[in-house]
Amino acid sequence: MSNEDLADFAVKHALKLGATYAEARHERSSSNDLSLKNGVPQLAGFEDVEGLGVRIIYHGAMEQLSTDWMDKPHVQKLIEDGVRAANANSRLMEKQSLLSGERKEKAKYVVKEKKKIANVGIDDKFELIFGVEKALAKAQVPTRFFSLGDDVTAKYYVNSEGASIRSVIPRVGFAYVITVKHNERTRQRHFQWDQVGGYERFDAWKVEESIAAEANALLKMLKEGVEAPKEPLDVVCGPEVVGIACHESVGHPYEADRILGREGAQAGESFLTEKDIGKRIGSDAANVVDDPTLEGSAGYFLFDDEGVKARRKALMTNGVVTEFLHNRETGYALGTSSNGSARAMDFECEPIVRMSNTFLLPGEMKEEELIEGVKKGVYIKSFTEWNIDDKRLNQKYVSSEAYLIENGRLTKPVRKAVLETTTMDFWSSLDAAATNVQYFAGSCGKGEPMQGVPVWMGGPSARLRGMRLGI
Amino acid sequence: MTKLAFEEATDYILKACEKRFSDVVVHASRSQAKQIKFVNSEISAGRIWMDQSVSVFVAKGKRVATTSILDLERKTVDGTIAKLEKFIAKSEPNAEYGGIAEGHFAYKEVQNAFDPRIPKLTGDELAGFVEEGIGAALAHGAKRASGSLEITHSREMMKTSGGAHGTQKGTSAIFSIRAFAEKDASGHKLSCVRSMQHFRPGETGQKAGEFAKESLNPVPGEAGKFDILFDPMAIACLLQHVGDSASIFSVEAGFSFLENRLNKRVASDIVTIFDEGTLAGGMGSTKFDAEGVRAQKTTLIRFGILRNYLHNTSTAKRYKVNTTGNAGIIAPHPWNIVLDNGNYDSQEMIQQTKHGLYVTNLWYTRFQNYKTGEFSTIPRDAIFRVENGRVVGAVKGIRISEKMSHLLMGIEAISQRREQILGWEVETPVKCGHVLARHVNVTKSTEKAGA
Repeated sequence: MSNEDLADFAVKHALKLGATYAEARHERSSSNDLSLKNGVPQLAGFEDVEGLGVRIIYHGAMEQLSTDWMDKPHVQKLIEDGVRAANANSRLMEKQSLLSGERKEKAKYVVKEKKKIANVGIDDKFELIFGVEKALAKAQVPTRFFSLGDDVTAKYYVNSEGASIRSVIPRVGFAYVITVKHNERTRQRHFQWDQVGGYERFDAWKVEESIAAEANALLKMLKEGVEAPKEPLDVVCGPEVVGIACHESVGHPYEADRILGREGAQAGESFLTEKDIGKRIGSDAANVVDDPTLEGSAGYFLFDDEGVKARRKALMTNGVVTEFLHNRETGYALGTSSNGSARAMDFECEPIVRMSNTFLLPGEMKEEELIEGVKKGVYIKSFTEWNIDDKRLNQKYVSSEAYLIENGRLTKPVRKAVLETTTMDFWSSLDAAATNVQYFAGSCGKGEPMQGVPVWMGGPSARLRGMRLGI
Repeated sequence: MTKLAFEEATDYILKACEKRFSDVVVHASRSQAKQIKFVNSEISAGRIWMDQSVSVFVAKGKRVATTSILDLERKTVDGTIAKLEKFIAKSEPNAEYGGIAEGHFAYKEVQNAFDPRIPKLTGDELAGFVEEGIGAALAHGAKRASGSLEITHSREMMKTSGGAHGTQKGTSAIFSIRAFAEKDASGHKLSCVRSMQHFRPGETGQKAGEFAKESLNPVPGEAGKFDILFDPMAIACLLQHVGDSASIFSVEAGFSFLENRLNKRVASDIVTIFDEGTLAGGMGSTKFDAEGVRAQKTTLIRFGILRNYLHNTSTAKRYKVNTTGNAGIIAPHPWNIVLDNGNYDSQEMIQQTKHGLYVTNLWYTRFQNYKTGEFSTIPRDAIFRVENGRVVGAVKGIRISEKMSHLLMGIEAISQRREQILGWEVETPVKCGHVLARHVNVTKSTEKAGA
């Protein structure tokens, strides 16, 4: 029996034991990682991982099962243990676990690599990472940490309703933390790239140019930065800041499992309730979507981890809540259907409601025009420290790179601009979005155990009127 | 097709690797776990998982590499070792690498690290614990409760080319419950144990329920400087960063506010913090580290003075000190961060607070600069306003924006009673009591112009 056949066997065996629903995900992934600390190679490594995740519903109770012992007796025992556990849990359940009805999709897709990961050796990767090190040779960056990684994951999904999806997704990522120093004062920048595809992605990022520019900008902020104004002003957020705001204060509170309380003790709940479709929380210029089908993106998939076809979701349209993110469980609970937002970090994890690529849609003005329309303000190009409360109402973004805007022009660098505001104030103050859409990679955490999944967040620059900066 | 038995895998892989590499560490682990997740006072899902893997570290001179082997089919194992040999040949040397520990180590059993009752717990018994915790929360003021119960048992075998070899088994149970009296009135508590004799889901649920009830009708908090009494769950979120920052790897990589602070004051003189590798019942306790050195108790901060960084054999050689038994072969890491207890009880600490807050949990701690220790974090769940030694109400909507050094220097009282914390926001186990810190900076969302 091949290991993919074990997935089919698991579904059949669960049904035989009385499960009313079963699905299985067989995953095989190969990954490589290496890192450089202050120019010194650290630990390089590779890993080939294979495992099976199975989810069953028995007596109305849902049970997620997983193993990397890929043989029939272990899989059989796992299913039998799962049925017993579900039976015990069902007595503490008034409501049965039920899933929304969905199309029985059958599909296969493979993300293409122009420069195949398999053909890039560890020696080539060291050359890439040392190239980045060299780019900082002339900058005053005493502390540097870089990591380069890739993986290829082949997945086979099957469920008892007849869906069957095969996919192969290669991925490349690079992350850095740099510290610049001037007169005993320091400043740090964390950044990462992550895209599906092959090593052509790394080439396109132009890491060497980008990191050198970032180091110079950090030094400029440190050497020349002035205090941020305390009086009321307008704030122009660059695409990186807009992206994190889309992710934290639109994407997360729109996750239907949070709205229903399913993340209550972990990632938290939401300021939104199930009745809030149609509620206005932003201005007419606030149009935010989540779209896993964005080619080459970090959050790319065409079918989710419940076998549902992925699509773009319009979360906020002209400032109004238009759609939540759903998996099949929340789709059923709220009387609608899944919109293909179920993701599991790997075969060990249950598929829960997740974002993919969340971004503000562009407006019609150029970024320069946004800035020209500001008499007194601050342009926050990028951020460092950030957080938001677990209902997603109060958020804080501290600038990494920021400039004063005086009479429509960028002037002096600002040492530290703190945007500490509420979700309603942020989105209702947005009066215009520009056309310069950019995306930024991140790892989004949720669930118990913690599931980190790759996402993009972004959009164009956006202007917020009448704000006050924090301290 | 021949599959290696788990018990013979370490020997087989070590022998095969010793022929090809100068240093080898083989670490095999097998674990099984069960979890119940509950939402709004009902079980929402269960989870069972079974894992096994063998992690392999090898060095050839200064070249170092690692991999994991999950499939113990002999052909797969041989193929992975051959791939490792090719991989390391094309890798660049790590000039800082100074080898692994040499010699045989005698390990002491960690007390209360394994309880044979845990692997035998039935689904009905687990559901019973969940029922007990939820019931207690509801009986003490909560309207609903969400959380999880997770039990694990594991077995590990370790062998190195330096001559170290050891085995250990462990168990754990973590019950996490967040009780809600209203949407913005909640309490969150944990029970983290290695053996069932200390497992208290009912007490944990009760305390979460009480916090929820007592924090009803919170009013918007104010920005400013406050004396803050931190519940163990809250201060653990911050103390874990002391442990992480004490790793010499963090210091070198720019991830530590403790750089250049050895033998200097980093906290008030009542603060003593250890890393205890063999803490009885410690969630992170272990007999040995990743290179087979016996885990130990290391003083990080004594009476406010930073005394040690955490080292492995290789980093210790570079700094001309002894290893502290904290390998990670490349990056040393803490096992259990332990804050020495003080003399107070938490009620006395409230009575000592003239104008302050009692914060019971923290959420989403993020650093602006690891080197300077500037961060912010969000008080979550019950936050109480304390005036003239009495709790006078609940608040919401605030943020702590501080520097680690200022916070640690402001610690004025520590409770005698301590709790062990490991959970969503605390990834390094911490054992600590209540902590009272003076003049902590609190911020909140600014009001829009004209508001």
